Amino acid sequence: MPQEITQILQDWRKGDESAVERLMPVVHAELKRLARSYLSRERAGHTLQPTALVNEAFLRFARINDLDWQDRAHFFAVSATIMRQILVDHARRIATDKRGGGMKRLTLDNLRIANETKAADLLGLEMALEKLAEIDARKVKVVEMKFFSGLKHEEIAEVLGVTEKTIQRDWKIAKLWLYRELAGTEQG
Amino acid sequence: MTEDRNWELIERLAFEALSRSGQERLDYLERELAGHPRLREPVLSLIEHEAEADEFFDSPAAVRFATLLGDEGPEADPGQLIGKYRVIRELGVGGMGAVYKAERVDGEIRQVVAIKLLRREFNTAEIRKRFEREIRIQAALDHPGIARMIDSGTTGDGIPYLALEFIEGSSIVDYCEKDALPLRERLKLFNKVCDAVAFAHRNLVVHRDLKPSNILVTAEGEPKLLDFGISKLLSDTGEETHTITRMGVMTPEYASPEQVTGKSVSTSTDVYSLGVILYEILTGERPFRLGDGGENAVLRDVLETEPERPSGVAERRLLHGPRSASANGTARRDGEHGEPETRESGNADTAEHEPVTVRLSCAASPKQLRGDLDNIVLKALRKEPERRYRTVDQLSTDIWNHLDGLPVSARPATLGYKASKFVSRHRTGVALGFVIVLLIVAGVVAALWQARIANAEAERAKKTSEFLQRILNFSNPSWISSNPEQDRNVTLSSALDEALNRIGTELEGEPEIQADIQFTLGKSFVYQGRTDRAEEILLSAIEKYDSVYGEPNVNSMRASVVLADCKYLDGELDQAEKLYKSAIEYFRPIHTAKGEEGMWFAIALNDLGNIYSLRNDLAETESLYRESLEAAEKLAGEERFMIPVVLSNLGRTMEKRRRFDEARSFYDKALAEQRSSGKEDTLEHGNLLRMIGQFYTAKGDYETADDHYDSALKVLSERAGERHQFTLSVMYNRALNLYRQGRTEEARGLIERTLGIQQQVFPDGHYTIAQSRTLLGDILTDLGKAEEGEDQIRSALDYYSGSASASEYQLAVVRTSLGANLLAQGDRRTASGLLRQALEGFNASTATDDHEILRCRKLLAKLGGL
Repeated sequence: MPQEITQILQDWRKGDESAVERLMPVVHAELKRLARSYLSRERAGHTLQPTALVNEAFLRFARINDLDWQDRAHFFAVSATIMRQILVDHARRIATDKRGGGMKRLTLDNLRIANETKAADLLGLEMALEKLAEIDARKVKVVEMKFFSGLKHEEIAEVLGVTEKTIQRDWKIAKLWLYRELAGTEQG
Repeated sequence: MTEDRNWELIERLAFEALSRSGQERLDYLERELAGHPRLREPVLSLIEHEAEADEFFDSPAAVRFATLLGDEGPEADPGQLIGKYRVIRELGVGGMGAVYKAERVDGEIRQVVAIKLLRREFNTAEIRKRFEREIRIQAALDHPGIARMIDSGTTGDGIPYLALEFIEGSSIVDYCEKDALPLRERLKLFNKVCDAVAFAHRNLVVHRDLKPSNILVTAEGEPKLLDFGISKLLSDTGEETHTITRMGVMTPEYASPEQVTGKSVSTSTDVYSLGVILYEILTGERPFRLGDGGENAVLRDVLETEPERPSGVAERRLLHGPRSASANGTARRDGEHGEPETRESGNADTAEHEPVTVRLSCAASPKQLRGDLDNIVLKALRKEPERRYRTVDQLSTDIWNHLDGLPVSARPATLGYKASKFVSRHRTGVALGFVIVLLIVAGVVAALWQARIANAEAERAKKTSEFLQRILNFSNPSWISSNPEQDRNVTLSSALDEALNRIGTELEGEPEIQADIQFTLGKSFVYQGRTDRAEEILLSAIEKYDSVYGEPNVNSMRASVVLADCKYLDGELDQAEKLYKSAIEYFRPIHTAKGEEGMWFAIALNDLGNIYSLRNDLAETESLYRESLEAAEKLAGEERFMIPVVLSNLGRTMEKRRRFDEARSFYDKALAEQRSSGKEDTLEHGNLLRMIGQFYTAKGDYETADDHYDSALKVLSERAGERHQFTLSVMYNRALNLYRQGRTEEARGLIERTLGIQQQVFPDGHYTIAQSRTLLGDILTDLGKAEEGEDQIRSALDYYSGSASASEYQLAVVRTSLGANLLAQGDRRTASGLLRQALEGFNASTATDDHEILRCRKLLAKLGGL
């Protein structure tokens, strides 16, 4: 699999846009696996470290030395979007189940209740992000990489080709904007 | 949109502002926004929630939302092999595992089983250990009422599973509902469930997650217990209990208080959950429902709220139909399915398919539930494990007894709680507290002698007595100290406090006794003037009485009257009035039946009369007092203590109605009644002396008045102390008397002292404080300190104008005082307006004190001369 990823990333660098589409399912599966292993670690009583899942995924896929920074940057950017997508998909499914639209998997245990709340949070955030994208698309990218992927400011700066200071400001303002949006929706 | 067009500017301003702090930030915003007024709102709304926003995004999404990823589709698809079983379909999913219907593939005979498979991501050592425990437990439980274990093993990739007897049936609630099962049948079915649970208990297994979806009833009507997923072996150490609780796998609506708080779990826990189920199959509702408040609200209810009596639910549903879904948020996901559906067994640790609350009918009429069944259910649902049925067998025995028309153990002992009857309500104060305790002990002992008392009541009486004796022992040593007179107050108060503190621990699980003691002590606090403490104690007693006996009941009504007294003393007249009125309504039809009821009836009438009297509604006052007197005169012995009280109140009312001879005659009768019953050293006697003093003050016979105040103070300061409401009233009256005699400086000293104490003892704005302020204001006006006086009077006026219970008369008195004050300050115009208003007020009221009206007229005359 690492070879595969390396190949995809190299194709991508050469300008093959279809590479992104090939990258998606692979990264998707790996991220999901990682996230679930995080979950069971948490269940077993370990506290989750806010490690970048994407970083871990990346390390598994490709020996970092083999790739230049552009590959890495691309990978991060794509993975962050995927991570957001994965979580939102799950949230949507849970929210649909709750409304009784999905298959009959009726559970009302604590995990489920907690998840329904989380799903609602996440879907609210997703709507806010879509709105923010219309005003300031870069900030959404920053949120994806920072919040959904756990990348460091310098890594995000590298991917987006701006200074770290800009990332700092983007992140700060995006948080405020999103929070205001979420709080406003709740009241409405 | 302003924000879109100016986004960059907004962003910059917000970010720059956030990099500054305090005044600097404000200055920056002020400066920068001055030129852009339209950006003010967008910028400020962004930065105002900085801390919350940072917190919201603090932990990465992958961590925060990780559990969403665990919420996956089925672990095993149809056709897949689990050990030697082939999956037919998924039956249910829970937090820890999934259950499948599966069939055996290696045997000759077709065997259908329910397979419980641990979820892949939960395949950790700890959870596996629990799963293995479940397997061991399940293997040990061979009973027709419990789903039998068939097999266990591990899948190819190392995930443990458990194969159980596959049961086709409905949840117990659906089953009862589907065939509209008659009440008797429901109870018999429930008893079969009890048998199975009792069997598990005998094998030292506590189920811990009993709920309808875990009790399936087959087509033959046999209940089967499922899912020992979170059960506990009683022989286990307590260690893993907490793990389980932390894991939070139980179902909130069926969880017992001890499970909610993570305390140790015993067979009583199952008794509780059985109680919830019984509640549901009897009434169609659960005692506590998962509603809009979410899980936390349910858990809080489980801990704090007493469930509604089943018969009350039935009654409500008879009148109003089922509790609406929107009201409590119990509309279920499958609510639109109409018919309860048949289900298949094996839902392991899932809480799936709890039936729809709103469509359940009520199985029984209020009448069928009232009494035995109410008592049985509520006993099973008690918050404290040790107050529930000790065993499931006891619960089911009670149900059998009920079915057979035999008495059940859960019936609460009939009450007319003897001990407190001996304690006269107005016997208060310090030494009196001691008397109260002694009387209770005596009363309890007397009660024990009565041959007919039920065992439960005898035990209750004995426990009360023992408890109070312990408290007595606690307080005794200091009572024989070198200066007993002084120490007494402190000691008794601390003895009472000690008693209250100990109630919770020493009498845990005895709410009737706790309530009796709280009532007695609360009463004592009220008449010691410690109303702050009393209110909370009395409310707690009332709540306990209501939960034990249902409402309304004699005990809680009695306590309500004392609570009303407490409110009255605190100046909360409207609340007091409501309480008195409901007590009067309650006691009126039964007041001739027993002495006690008659006594409380007379008390409530009299005390309500006091409120009307404060409001100068004298006709109503008189009729309340007369009804009270009539009731009191029917009583005998100790219970006649109300007679002099009512007589003196009638005297005061006659005085107000300007029927002075009648007034004097009532007063004489009252004094005579007190003397003949040896009550010359009581609070009432002190208070009566004060009232008569007041009578003479109003008549202008200041010397006679002062003699009475003097005697009153002697009794009261000894019996009740300086901080008591009665004592303070005498002090006020005496100050007024002094003022009217022209002994202004003396009056000032006394009223200042009185006011000082009142401000410590009563809440702000208490009417006696307003009264004292008015007098102090008058005095200050006369002493040439009109400005200081004005503050006092205005503060009193503020109170009276803002108080719904203030009478025209009281307002008129204060307005007169303010008029006099402003006149002294030269503000003739305002003074004149106030005095005219006051005179109107006096004319509209039944004035009692000629002096006040005369004063108002005189002042007006002075002004009118201009």
